[in-house]
Amino acid sequence: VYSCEVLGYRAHLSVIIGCVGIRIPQMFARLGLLARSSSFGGTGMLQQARGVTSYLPSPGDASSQTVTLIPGDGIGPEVTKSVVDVVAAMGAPITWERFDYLSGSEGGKVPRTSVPKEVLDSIRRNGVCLKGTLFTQLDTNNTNTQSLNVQLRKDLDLHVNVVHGYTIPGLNTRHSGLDIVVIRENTEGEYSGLEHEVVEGVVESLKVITYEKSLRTAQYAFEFAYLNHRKKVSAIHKANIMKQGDGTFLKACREVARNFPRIQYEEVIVDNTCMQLVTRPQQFDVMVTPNLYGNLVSNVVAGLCGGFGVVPGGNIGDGVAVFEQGARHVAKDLTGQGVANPTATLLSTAMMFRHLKLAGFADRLDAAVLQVYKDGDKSALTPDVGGEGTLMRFTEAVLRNLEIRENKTD
Amino acid sequence: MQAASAAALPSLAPVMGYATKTFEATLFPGDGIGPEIASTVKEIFNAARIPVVWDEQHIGKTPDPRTNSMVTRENLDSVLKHKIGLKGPMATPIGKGFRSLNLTLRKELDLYANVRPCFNIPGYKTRYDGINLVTVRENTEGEYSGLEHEVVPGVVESLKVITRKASSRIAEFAFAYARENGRQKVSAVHKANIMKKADGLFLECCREAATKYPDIKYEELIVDNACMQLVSNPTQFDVLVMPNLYGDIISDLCAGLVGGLGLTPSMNIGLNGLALAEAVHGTAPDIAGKNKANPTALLLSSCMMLRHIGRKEDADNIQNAVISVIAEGKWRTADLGGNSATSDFTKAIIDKLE
Repeated sequence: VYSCEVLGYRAHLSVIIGCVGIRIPQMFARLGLLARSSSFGGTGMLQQARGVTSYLPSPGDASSQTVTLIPGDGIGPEVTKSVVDVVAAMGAPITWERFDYLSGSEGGKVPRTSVPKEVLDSIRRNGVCLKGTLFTQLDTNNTNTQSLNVQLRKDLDLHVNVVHGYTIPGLNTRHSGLDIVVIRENTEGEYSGLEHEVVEGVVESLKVITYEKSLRTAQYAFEFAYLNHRKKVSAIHKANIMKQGDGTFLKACREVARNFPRIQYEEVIVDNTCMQLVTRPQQFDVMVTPNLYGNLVSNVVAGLCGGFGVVPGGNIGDGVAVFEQGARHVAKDLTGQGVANPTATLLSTAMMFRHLKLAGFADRLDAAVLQVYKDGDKSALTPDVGGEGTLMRFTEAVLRNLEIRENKTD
Repeated sequence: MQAASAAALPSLAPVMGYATKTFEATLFPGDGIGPEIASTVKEIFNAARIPVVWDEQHIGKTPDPRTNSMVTRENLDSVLKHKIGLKGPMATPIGKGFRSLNLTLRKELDLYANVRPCFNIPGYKTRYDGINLVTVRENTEGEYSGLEHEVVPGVVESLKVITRKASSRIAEFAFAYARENGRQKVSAVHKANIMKKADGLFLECCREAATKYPDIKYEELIVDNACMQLVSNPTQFDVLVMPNLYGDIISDLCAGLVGGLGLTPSMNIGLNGLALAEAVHGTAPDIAGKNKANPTALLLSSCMMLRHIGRKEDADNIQNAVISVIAEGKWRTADLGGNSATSDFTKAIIDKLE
C-alpha cells in the first residue's frame, strides 16, 4: 500500500506487487527542508505516469550549483566520499568546492583551532555546505577556543539546527511509528564559550539566552511545522529552575504560537521530555529547544531511530545552510575501518537537494537509501544497524537502486 | 592541587550502632498517597522485625520564619539528629516569599548526592532489558545555582558554577559507592568539549578520584553520546557520575527506561553522611485514600536507607520480597497493569518475607 500526504489528506493506493504502480508526487514544491519520503520505494517496477508533473523548475534551475564540502575528521572523509560518488552517479548538477585539510584533530592533518576565512567565504558565497564532523580536542591548553563545529555555526550565524528522526522501515528499533523533528537554537545558550575561573577551583560558565534569538528559533520552528503540515510544536525547557533564562525562551515561543493558531503548542520540562521519549516517543512531533537541551534531545531521538549513522540533519541561517549528520559524532573508533554508515549523510544530502530546488534528485536519493533498509539484505547494511556489510557495500546498494529507477523510465 | 580533606568525605560506613540495635529514623509521610504508602513501609518493617523507631514529621502549613520555608526547624533537626530519613511525595505549596521544600532540604541538610539505582524489575516488562545501573548526580551547584540576571532587556545570563570542592566530593562518593556496592565501572558524563573550564574541572576531579580506586574501571562520556547510548544500549552502563543538570535529565531518562518514577528508588546523601531516601513520584491526589497506590518506590528507597546504615540483610529481605511479588504478577497495583489494592499487595509482600 502506498500513501502520500498531499495538502493534508492521504491518498491510498493498493498496488499489486510486480505490476505497474502509479507514483503520485507531491503536488506542490515544498519550500520547507523536508518531505515525508516513506511513500516511495518498492520493487523498482515503477513507471512515471503520463501527464503528471513533478516539479516545475524555473528556467536555469538545472545549471550546476557549487556546494562547499568539508569532509572533516574521523569517519567524515569516508562518508563524504560515498556521498560524492552517489551524487556523481546520479548526475546531479553539483560542483564541489572541497576543503579536505580542515581538521580539529591530529590524524595526519594540521589541527586547526579556528575556521579559516577562505572556508567561511566559500560557504557564504555558495550558500550551501555539506560537512562531516570536526573533532574537538578535549584537553587543550587554550581553553578559550571553541569547537570548530560551534565556531562555524556562530560565524555563519546558522540560527537553528534541525534533526529529523523517523522510523526507517526495515530497520529494527525498540519503538516504531516515529517522526520527530528537533529544532534547536544553534548559536547561544550554554555554547557561549564564556567561562572563567573566579578563584582557584571555582569556575563560572555563562549561559546566555536572548529574546531575539529565542524568537527567531521559535519562528523557524512554527514556520517549519506549518510548511511541512505538522500538528504540534513542543517547547522543551527547564524554566522551573532557570526561570529567567528558559523563561525568556518560553516567552518567545508563546509569542510565536499565537500567530499559528492551527498548530498545537505545548511546553514540556526537559527531564520529563527524556522520560517520555523512552516510554512513549510517538507523542512528539516538532520540538523546539534552546541549545544544550536540543543537543541531548536530538541525540535521544537519534538513538531511538537507529543511531547516529541514520539520522539526517542540517543547520540553517539567512541565505546559508550547512548539512551534516543529525547527531554529530566523529566516531574515532570506527575511523578507517570502512564500516561507517553513510545513511545519515546521504539523507542529509537529499535534504540539501531539496534546499537547492533539486527535488527530483532528492526524492530519488531518499527512495534509493530507504530501499536498502526495506530490502533487508544484511550484507549491504553496516554493523551499527545490525548488518554485516561495509560502507562500500551499502553505497553500491544505493547506486544499484538508483540505476534501477533510471532504467525504468520511458 | 589540594584534594578535598578527609573530613569532608562522606561517611558511607554504617552509622554507628544502627546495624545492631534499635535505631531512630525520620519519616515524612508527605501528601496525597504519601500517608498510605508510608504506612505500608511501617507495616512491612514491623513484619520484618526491623528495630526502628519512626519519628514522624510533617511539613508545616505556613512558612516557618526560622527556615523561611514550610519545612519547620523541627523537621530539619529531626533528620540532623537521626541521620537517616524517608520522605514520601510532597505537594508543592503555592505562594511566594519562601523557599521551596526541596531547596530548603537540600541546602539545610547539604544534600549533595542524589543516587538512583535503575534496574529492570523481573516480570514488569519495558522495552529495555538487562538494565542495572546507578545514577549519581551532584545536587548542589552547576546550573542550579539559581544565579540569573537580565543584563539588558531581552538578554539573560544564567550562571553555571562548578567547584573543585563539590566535584571532588561527588566523584569520591561515586567511587566509594561503587566499591561498597560491588560495582565495576564508573562513567563520568560531561560536555567538556564545549564547556572546557567548567566540565573540564569536573573531569579533573573525577580522574583524581579514579586514581584512588584502581580496582574500579573509569571512563568518560560526552553527554549527548551518553544519551544516545542509554537509549540504544543501556546495559553497558554501571555507575554514572554527573554534574547537576545532566544528572537531572539522565536520571529521569533512566527511570523511564525501567518503568517510570513510580518504581524508582532514590536517596540523597548529605552532611556527614546523613541520608534521606525518598519517593520521586508525585502525590497522585486522584487516587489518594482509595487503597490503590503503589508503594514500590518508597519501599525500594527504604531499602537503600537500610543498606546505608549497614542493615544489608534486612534490605535484601524486603527488596527480594517486593520484586518477587511483582514478578509473580498475581498482586499488582493499577499502575503496573493489575487491579490489586495496596493492602493486598502489602500482605503479599509480608508473606514473602523471611
